[in-house]
Amino acid sequence: MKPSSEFVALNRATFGATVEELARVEKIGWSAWVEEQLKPDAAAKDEATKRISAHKLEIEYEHEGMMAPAMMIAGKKPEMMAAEGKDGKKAEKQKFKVKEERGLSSLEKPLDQLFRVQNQEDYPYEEIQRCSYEVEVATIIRACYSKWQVRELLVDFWHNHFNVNIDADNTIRAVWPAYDRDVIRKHAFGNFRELLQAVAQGLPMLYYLNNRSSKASPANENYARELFELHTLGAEHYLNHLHKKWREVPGALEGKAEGFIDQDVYEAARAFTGWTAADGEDYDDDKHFPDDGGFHYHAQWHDPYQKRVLGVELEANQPPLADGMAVLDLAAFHPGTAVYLSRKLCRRFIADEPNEDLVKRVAKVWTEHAKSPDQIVHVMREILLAPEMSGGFGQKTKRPLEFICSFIRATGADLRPEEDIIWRLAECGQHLFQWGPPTGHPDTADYWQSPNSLLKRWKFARDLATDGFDGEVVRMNLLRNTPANKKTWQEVADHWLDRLAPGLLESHTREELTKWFREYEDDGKARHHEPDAEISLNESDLAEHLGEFVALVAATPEFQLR
Amino acid sequence: MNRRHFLCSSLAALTGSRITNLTFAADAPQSRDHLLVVLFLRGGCDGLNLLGPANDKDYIAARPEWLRVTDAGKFEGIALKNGYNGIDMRLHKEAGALKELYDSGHLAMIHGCGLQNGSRSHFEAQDMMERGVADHKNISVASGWLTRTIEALSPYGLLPAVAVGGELPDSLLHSKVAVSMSEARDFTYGRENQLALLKRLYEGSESIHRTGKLTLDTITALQSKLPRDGDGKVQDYTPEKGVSYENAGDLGESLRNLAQIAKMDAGLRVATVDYDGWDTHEGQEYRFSELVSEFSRALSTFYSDMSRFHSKMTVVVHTEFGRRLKSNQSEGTDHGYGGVHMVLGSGVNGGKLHGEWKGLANEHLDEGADLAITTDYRTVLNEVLTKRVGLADTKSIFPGFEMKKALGIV
Repeated sequence: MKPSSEFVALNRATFGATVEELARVEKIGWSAWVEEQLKPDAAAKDEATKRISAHKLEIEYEHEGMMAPAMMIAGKKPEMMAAEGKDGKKAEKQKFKVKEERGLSSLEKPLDQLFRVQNQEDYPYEEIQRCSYEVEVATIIRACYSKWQVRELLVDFWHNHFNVNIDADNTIRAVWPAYDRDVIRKHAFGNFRELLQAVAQGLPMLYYLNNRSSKASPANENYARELFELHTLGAEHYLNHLHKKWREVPGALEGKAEGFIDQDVYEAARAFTGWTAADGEDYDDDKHFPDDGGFHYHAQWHDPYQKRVLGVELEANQPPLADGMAVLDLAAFHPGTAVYLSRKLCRRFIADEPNEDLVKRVAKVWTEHAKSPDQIVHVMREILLAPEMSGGFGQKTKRPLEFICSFIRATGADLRPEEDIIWRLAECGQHLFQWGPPTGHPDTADYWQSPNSLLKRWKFARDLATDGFDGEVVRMNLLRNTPANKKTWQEVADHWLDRLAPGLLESHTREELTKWFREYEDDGKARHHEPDAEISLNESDLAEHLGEFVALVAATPEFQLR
Repeated sequence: MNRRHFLCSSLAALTGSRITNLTFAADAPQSRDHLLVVLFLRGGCDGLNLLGPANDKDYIAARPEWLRVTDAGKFEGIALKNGYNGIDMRLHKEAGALKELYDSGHLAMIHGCGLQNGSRSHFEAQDMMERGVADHKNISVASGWLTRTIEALSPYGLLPAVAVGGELPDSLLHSKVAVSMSEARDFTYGRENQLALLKRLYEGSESIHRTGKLTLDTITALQSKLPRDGDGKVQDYTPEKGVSYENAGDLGESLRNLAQIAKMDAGLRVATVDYDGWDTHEGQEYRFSELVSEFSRALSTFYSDMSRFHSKMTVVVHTEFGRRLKSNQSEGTDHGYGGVHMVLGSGVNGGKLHGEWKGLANEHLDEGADLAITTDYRTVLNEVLTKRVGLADTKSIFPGFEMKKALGIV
């Protein structure tokens, strides 16, 4: 059996194909489905939006400070901190207990508010951590339930491409909702050059790759190096082993260096000196930066003299920001960037080793639309409508988030994610916003198919399906989602096989699984049931047995792949 | 600097454990084969802050004292015997546990060691080192150097190669036998009939099938090897008497898991452990102290825990590059070149610094900026593989590598 081409394409363009969505694609056609996905209607309330508004997460901690945490969160000015108590003594710290079910209230907060509240003395760490936690939870909800699946995959792609580890600094966690919303999501379908700048000037990247403290001289090279090597030209254009001097790099003398060497990194780092965050940092003893959590250019830290980047001269004493902007232009519009990013997108959506002809076609579209505000829409259309998109099932291994979401989506389960889910994803090798090095997660099977990762995902699905999570994390609803007219062992097995793996499994695999299902074990004794016999288990036994069954379907080799 | 989290977690550093067992017991006769442990310090460990020439004038001129080891004062390093001729090489003050291993004669260190390719890219340098190569045309070598090592050691037992942690590093790339594992006891799945079913479903020939089969076979193997109590319950791991991993951090946790697997008599020959976080471009003083402290304590705790196996085990420590001699204005250091590598084991020619120290004068630096590399990283590995691990030669392990002169580390 071979899965249909619609299934293959849909499974790659979503966090898991469902039979309902598959029917829709068959009805309206693939290109109509793609067009719909490329223009998400932000105003429409889809299932994910509803779930996010209704989602509540517990927060519990003890806090010692001058003010109740609720007042600090509301941004109340700390006047009372200096106030004297009744007996004439200075107000003392008090103990507060916080324990409540709270909605995802940080997601919509503006950046300056997120930044300023956490910048108060004694601000509880649990509240800082909560901000990024809400984004993690919302990300999982959207992956499972959003109508705009291509957008969600792209958001995931950009977060990985511009990897930031939220553990690098508390402040990153605090402003994470604004970064996810106003930088990554805002530009996910936009223009790469604009996205690149929004990332470069966002507090999370300024902190993570340390440019916020880069000043002349010597500059901090961390951001400049990864800008070339990871964000734009890619390691394939790092030519340091070939050329020690900039003049030797092909094209450099014409101002069109084919690649970069360490000297370009040094110069670019100088260009970005003074690019820092508006984080209220002190300087010159009594002055401090603005504190709205945004971007700040500090001219005193900038190295103003002439530079040469990728063979292009930057004159001395340019206006504020001009040096850095010139480097972003050079990197974003470099032909190597078009190829590198196109290949990376094809790799993410289609195959570990994408067809180079496809990469060239996509790079052409990338370059033609380099200055279009919707450059990435054009690029994604080229990828999604390519014949390669629907061919050759199994050229990608699902990431753990894709694996779990595809399981939830196919079963129709009700997942209410909380920290256990995030922790279990990490155990499988996917560290949501917490990948350490700036590379982001690798995107090939070599990484995702490790024995540990494979085993942990089998166990993850099994624990979801058999009540292995405490509390209200998941309701599988397997009985409710089994149609009333499916009564026999064979009918029920077929129903779930068709939902989880439509057209995906060889017939002998289906038979093996069905045979397992029919041999229900009771008190340690396996009892064989005929295929057309009606199931007579009580509800809780059947729910558990069905849970084990769908978990086994999810553990098949085919279900690990896209 | 607004670094709240720096302040809240430094208690652990104050309670560092001392090695309890430095007069190591004579090795009991072993039936097991040699175990090679490769510990990778990822991010580029600043060798010049870990092991520096305290009185070198170029060193003093290039960095503030809090990014150096000094011969007196707050940053006073630990003096070492048998350093490079006439130079006061000192260890970072948090590396007391390493000093004890060094003095015991089990630990050798090589400064100015690394990948002689000029790369200052973490990922490229790691890619090459883990494939056992040193040039671009070989970066596509399709397997890791430990993958090839394991193949050269076949036939092997149940569990020849383990990557401690979630995933396989590139040094074990495309190994048919290497398993990633955080804790051995986690290797279970469901009931017997579920495992049997999965084994049948993973009988195919694609890579996913091979990985699945390896996973399932490992479950079976480990379940038979894990020590159990009278009721059949898997026992908690107990380190050797007097050894505690309590203050050894995350690295200690990984090494504790490794010690358990190594002692299960499942035929372990190669193990990898990663320790991240050495990319200290900013705020290095605090971060580096924490890293050195945890690394030193974890390594010595593990070594004490493995005391019965010292003659049958070698630990190699490496990093993709050292860091720039001159510090930046972010109170950190950028990517450099030569770094510190280490070899630990009872047959090691330890208590000695190996390799050549050229000094830090501008004319001796690589690109005028970084400590030059005087020892190819494969020189060290070659000695370990041929003299400790038992390979006749390393031609297939390090393609194109010509061993010039052994350093006499082993």
